[in-house]
Amino acid sequence: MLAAPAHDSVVAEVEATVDRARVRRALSQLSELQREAVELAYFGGHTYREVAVMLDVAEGTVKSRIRDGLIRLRDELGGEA
Amino acid sequence: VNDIDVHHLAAAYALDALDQREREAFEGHYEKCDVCRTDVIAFRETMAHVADSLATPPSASLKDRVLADIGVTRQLSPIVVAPVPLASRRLRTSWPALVAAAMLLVGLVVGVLAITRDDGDPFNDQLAQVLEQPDARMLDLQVQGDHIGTFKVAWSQSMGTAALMGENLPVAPNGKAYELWLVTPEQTMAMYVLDPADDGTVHRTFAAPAEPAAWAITMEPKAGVAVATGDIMYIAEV
Repeated sequence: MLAAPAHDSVVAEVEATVDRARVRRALSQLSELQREAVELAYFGGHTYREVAVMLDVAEGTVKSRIRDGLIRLRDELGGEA
Repeated sequence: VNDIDVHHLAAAYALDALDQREREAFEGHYEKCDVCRTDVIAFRETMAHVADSLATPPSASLKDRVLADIGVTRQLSPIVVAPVPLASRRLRTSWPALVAAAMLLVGLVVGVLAITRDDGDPFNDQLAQVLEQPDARMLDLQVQGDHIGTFKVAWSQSMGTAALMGENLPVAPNGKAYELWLVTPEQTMAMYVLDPADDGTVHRTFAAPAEPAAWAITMEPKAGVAVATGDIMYIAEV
């Protein structure tokens, strides 16, 4: 039987690791444009019009990619905060 | 701005990515629209979840322990990306650093998992492999009655492997042992007889040969039994 003390709090940290893996997986399900648009708008604090200029795509495209990306993330992550 | 367009602004609004005119138009609509309010709340929770997750590096203690286990000095410093509150997110200058840091963190997590895999410890090794699978799941077993102690089980169906982690477990009565069961709709399969270490922990990986509908633990004769006889002490329904 393994009794390595190094494992004592592994259990407490596993959930966070699982959560990070879920988020990584969810992000990986987005198309590149969806992910870039969401990242620039959220992490970058840009408006979707600014994102459209930065990515050189139509404003309506950015708007729908942000929406599609968020719906996908919401569904993948299932509301488990 | 027509009605359909207004609905479709919910996502951009949730990210605070509308210009002032559209934001005002949307807010007028938002007051009256349950669908949009629900969407905005869900989108903001989702992004807070993503940001928190990317912002929280793997526990330093876990990393240090994993790295100490394999006798190497940490090469990478922990990077902490603070989640950006929506209210103060109009700092237009910092996005490349934030995005880059977030991406670096993802790399760091992957790196730590990769290192964990090589540390030569059978449990850490296999736990890390299980958690890397796209279909990895983890559940807490619910304690029944007045039993004490906790169990968690992580498993990947595609890998066919599960990892069981128990803590604060009392020593089994003389001649008895904990036994783990994998329950499917068709059968209840005996997995392992568990013998907690002196500190009350169990860390064990094993083959999970079928898709579980539930995981359960009972107290059985020490040699183990093929059919459960004891009451369920801990259970997790999938």
